[in-house]
Amino acid sequence: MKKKIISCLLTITVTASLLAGCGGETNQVSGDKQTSTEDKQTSTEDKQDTSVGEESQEPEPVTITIGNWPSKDNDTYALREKQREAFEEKYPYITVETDEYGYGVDTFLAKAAAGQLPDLFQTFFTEADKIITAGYAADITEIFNNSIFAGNMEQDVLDLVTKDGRIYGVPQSAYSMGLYCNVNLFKEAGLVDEEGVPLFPTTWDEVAETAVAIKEKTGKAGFMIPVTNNQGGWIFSNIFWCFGGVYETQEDGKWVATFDSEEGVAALQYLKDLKWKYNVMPDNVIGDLTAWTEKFGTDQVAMGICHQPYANSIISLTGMSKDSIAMTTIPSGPAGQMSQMGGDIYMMAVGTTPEQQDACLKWMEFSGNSPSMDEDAVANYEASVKEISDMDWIVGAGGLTIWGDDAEVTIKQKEIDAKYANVDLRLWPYAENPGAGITPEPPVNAQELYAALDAVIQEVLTNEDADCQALLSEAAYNFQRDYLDNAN
Amino acid sequence: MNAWVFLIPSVFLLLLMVWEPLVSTTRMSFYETRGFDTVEFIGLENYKNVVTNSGFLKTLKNTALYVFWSLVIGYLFPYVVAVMVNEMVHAKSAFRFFCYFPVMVPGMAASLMWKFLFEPGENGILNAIRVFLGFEPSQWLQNPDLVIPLIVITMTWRGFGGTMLIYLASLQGISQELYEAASIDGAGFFQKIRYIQFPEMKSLLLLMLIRQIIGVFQVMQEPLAMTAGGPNNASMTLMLNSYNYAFTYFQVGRAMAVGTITFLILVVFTVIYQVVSRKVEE
Amino acid sequence: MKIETKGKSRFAGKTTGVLSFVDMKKPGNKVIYWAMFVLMVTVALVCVLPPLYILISSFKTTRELMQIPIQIFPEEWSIDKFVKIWNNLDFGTYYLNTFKIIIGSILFSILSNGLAGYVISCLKPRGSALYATLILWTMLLPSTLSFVASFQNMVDMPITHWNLTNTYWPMWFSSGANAFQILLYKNFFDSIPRALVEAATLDGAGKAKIFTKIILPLSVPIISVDAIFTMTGCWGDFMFPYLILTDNKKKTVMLAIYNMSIGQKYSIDEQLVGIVFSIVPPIILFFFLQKYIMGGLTLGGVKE
Repeated sequence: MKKKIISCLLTITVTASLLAGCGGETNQVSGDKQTSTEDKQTSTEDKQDTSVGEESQEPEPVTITIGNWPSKDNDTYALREKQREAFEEKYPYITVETDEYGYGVDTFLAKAAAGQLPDLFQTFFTEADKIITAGYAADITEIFNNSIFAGNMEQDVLDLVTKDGRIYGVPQSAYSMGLYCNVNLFKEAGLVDEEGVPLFPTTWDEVAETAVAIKEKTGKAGFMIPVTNNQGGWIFSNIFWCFGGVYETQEDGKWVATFDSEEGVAALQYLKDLKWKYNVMPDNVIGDLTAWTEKFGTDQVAMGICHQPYANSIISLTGMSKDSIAMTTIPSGPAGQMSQMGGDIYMMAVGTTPEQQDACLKWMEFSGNSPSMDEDAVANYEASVKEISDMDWIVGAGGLTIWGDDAEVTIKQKEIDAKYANVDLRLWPYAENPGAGITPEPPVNAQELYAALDAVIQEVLTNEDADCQALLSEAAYNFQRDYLDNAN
Repeated sequence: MNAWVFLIPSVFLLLLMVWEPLVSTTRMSFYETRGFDTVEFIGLENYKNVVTNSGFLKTLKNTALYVFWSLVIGYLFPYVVAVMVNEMVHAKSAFRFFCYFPVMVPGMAASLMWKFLFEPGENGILNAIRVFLGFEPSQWLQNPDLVIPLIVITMTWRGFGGTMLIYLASLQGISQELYEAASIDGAGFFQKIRYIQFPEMKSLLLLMLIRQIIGVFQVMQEPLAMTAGGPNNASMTLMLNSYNYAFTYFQVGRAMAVGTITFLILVVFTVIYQVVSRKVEE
Repeated sequence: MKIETKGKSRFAGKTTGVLSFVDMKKPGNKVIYWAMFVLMVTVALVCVLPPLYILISSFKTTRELMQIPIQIFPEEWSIDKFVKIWNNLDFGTYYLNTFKIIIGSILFSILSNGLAGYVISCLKPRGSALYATLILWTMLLPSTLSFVASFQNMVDMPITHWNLTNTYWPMWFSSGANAFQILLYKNFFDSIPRALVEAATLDGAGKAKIFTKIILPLSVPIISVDAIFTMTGCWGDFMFPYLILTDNKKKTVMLAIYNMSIGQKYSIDEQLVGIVFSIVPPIILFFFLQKYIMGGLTLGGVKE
């Protein structure tokens, strides 16, 4: 479940990269280490100074707490603090407090029930429904409709945060997935052209062939997929869809689990073959995304699927050089090329006042998380991109946006990204077309579905005699009974 | 009368932290919940939902397996060690020290530490040793058949020192004259253990048996830290399941139902314990 | 040869265990003895080597940890990483927080559990026997099962509706609500000779005086045992603080290392350093207080 957490990790970087591709919205805010959090201290002190000074402004003073703040040991911390100060200068009546709390699937309820949620917090696309149902997200319909955000969003993205006609959140960033390749291992295996650019596989069959070649030439694993914390289902989805599988369909208003179809079995069988027939997976197949990251970042595994913003997390976690990371779009399967789209949503805690909600929206705009982009936002964005580039992380590698290619934010961010771009685009075919075949996450009980798939994938990868069809059928039956039947 | 005044802190805290929560757990298990608030009385609906969940039987079985393996691996071990330490004249206090050493390692740290040692790749130390000895590397915690015994081993590693000291204290209380008398009758080492020492220890062993069953039945933190219940829920336990219901799925009512079911099972063992310990005292 | 002679002299003084020094003259028993000795050495190694290996490994880099074949020792013994992680994660704060929990918990345990044990054992007011039985049941009942509901009480305390999350009260409260400790105290007080109290009563000493002049001085050992148990218990406590302390500034060492282990935030070599940070203090404590720690366990723990 933490999987998505990751997604937000260091997103800031992402941001930068996002731009290149589709644009905009960018995640400055999401940046950083989501879960952790230390440090409010300094910020609190500063803040007090400011607020004392400018009490004479017209609007009533208001204080908001913003979640997902980077911890002090995070590389983006200083930058964010600067941003915060600038924001308070611009809106002297607003005081910003910070909280490092980042959404965690098993930490949210404790935090929410205790009334400790930050006024502005982030979660994943898939979690929105659960949070709205549990009553922890504020209804922001009116304030949203009167803001610059209204009317700019794609309907299906808006649907994610809408329940019974009321709006409970604002999407913050979106990502798509692609295939990561370790340039060092590709080189070692001789799978590069004369310029040293990896020969990217473009179909799943080619992925298998490439993996076999790497295993033969280098002795290292060719491919790995995380299989715990719901990350297995989350990432496997890409393969599943490429093979033509459909998770859930709605019949007469009732949701039915359909992932045990022939196509679904074929996708699972493909994964199983990678392990047992081609023998290109590491011994340690059970691990989460961290396990994959460690192996990928230390040249122990050559390929893996993940979302684009994750590239800079790999650098941060393992010290891998940015020039050793390559990424291409998701390979095609029998049903074409399907890449998972997910992302983060901003929500406001129940109990926030309209003034606070308004201040939160202002912050989002200020930090570049809105369709428009004024001078301050541009300056902020540029500063963050420069920072990333200074750290020698990846800038300019593309990515999805949620406000569309024509949005002001998309265009301006793209410009800035181009200015600081440091990525060798020959290593990044992904950046040319990050929107290739994007497919939204399963609509109902996605996290539970991922959990069920985790179990199936684990079984397939650890038991050579596992029966794919039987496993999927059982999982579909149980998923139907445990969740879908209850949902209606 | 005024003596009760001294009991106020204890009564208050036990009420707040233990007794009321027990009652409230049971009560809320009959309600539909939204967050932590009760919405509506729904009778046994939560129970029905929880019990018919496809994972429930497996979870129940797993929990029983934890108990089973903890008895196989961890029950006699501290006793045997205590008997041996009791015989030592060399380095006796050093052995006591070393056996108790793991007890001082905090539970969470021990779980994470063993998780690291059980690294299933060849870069794991235990696998390196296996390979060195000519075996295939093991999948360790990723092997559904091994995961529960291995978690039990880590629990035993951390816990046996304390139990061992309890046994040791009891062993040291056995009169030497009994052994001497047996020696005169010509009894050997193992005979003396069997016929002189063991009968003296029987009641304590029985008490520790039931205690261990009750303790292990509530296992949660170790699988949470080491496997999150995997692979394929092979190490999921009732308590971890309850935790997931509450904090991952926001289904507090169902979490309470699982808690209550576990509670009822354990009450049976507690009653047995009470009966046994009363007998032992006689 | 040398060992042999040394052995002989040791055996001559053997006064514990099944084998007496007379038995040790038989070669067969000697074999059994040394076999057991070897076994015990093995057990001791299994106890000590894993943490030792963690300590050694914590010096390695991620790349070294991923390396096949593995190397037992790191290439470089540098404590830079330790300093860096200590500072970056602010482990000093976590230590301090844990320390605050420990101090408060010890006070609560003495005041609540200690007094309760004293009342049940010595004062025995009407109805206290019932209370003692209740405590006994409480200890046996699996109260960890209701942690969700306990958490709920801390979020919204009955009657007062205080929200105690992100404070240390819940941990202090739960240390003060420990049936096992109450029984530990009770057993201890039971073992104080009644004659002492009776003699003092005959001399005209009041209840208060008996308590301060006789009971309290005698209680020093049990209070230290309580303090040590509470200390190690609080240091390792995880689940409850995990739910209560959501503010990073308030977190404990155990929460810090768990947080390091989940999510994609810290690499494995950093996690190992965290584990080392969490193990070292109790181990140091153990070196200095081993007699009390191991003695305390048998003081009252066995019989209830």
